Amino acid sequence: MLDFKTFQKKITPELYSFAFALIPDDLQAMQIVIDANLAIAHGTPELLAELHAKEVDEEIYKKELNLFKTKIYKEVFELSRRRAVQLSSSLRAPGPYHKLSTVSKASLFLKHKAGLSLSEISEIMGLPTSSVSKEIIEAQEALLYPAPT
Amino acid sequence: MLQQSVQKNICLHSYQVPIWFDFLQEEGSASELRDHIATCKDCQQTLKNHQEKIVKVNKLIPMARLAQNSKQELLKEIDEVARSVIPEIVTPIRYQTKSTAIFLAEAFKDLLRSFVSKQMITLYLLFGTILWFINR
Repeated sequence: MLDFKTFQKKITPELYSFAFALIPDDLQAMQIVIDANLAIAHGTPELLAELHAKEVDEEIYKKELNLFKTKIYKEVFELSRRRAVQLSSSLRAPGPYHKLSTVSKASLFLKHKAGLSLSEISEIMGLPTSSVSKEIIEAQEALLYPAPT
Repeated sequence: MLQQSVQKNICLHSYQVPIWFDFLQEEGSASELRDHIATCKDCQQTLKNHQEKIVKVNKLIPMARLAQNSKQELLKEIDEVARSVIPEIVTPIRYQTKSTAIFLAEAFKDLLRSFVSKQMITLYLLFGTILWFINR
């Protein structure tokens, strides 16, 4: 059974990459990951306590770990979306990917880099699966064939 | 003319192949389409083209890596966040368990004390004397 500390060591760099893909700034991305953890710690402290507990049923632990993963990705997405609006004038990054909307960038990252399932992405982004799949297809096209500026 | 129409006459299922590859494959659904792709050259070609497209998409998505020292720093901060919250939850639970144990111990002590109190010993002696008189 993967203990929570090991799980955090694995997921934290992934979350940072996700945050950086949405907000291309090193410090901002790190702060988003910290803030997401803070939001979960204060929003659902009992979940965090259960995950840190030494003696937990394996099945329950796995479920809680998945719940935590979805919640933390959701927090990173929500925080990045809000900050992207606030920082839109100061953030400049090259490449067609950064010309996409935050929702498009998030859907592409979660699908192709994080390797999450459609239902997980739908849960994280708070959108129905049909909308997520449409978003991914359109974002892929926009990424490969960007509109001339 | 006929040759052209034959060339354009590609498998109708090939339009579903990208959707199958992107979304249905992971769910394990649309097994009929999967079996069809295995036998249809048009669909196999569409699948190959789509896979190449996905490779290009993947290359265009940035994947920033955390430097080792930044990773340690970040993990430390996250650990502190957890530590700042967990005692609030664990302590009351421990406190509750401890206070229940204290209550039970005190109740047991009270019970024991009442069974061996002066009044009770007097009562035992009284009952004992009565029983002794009855049995005599």
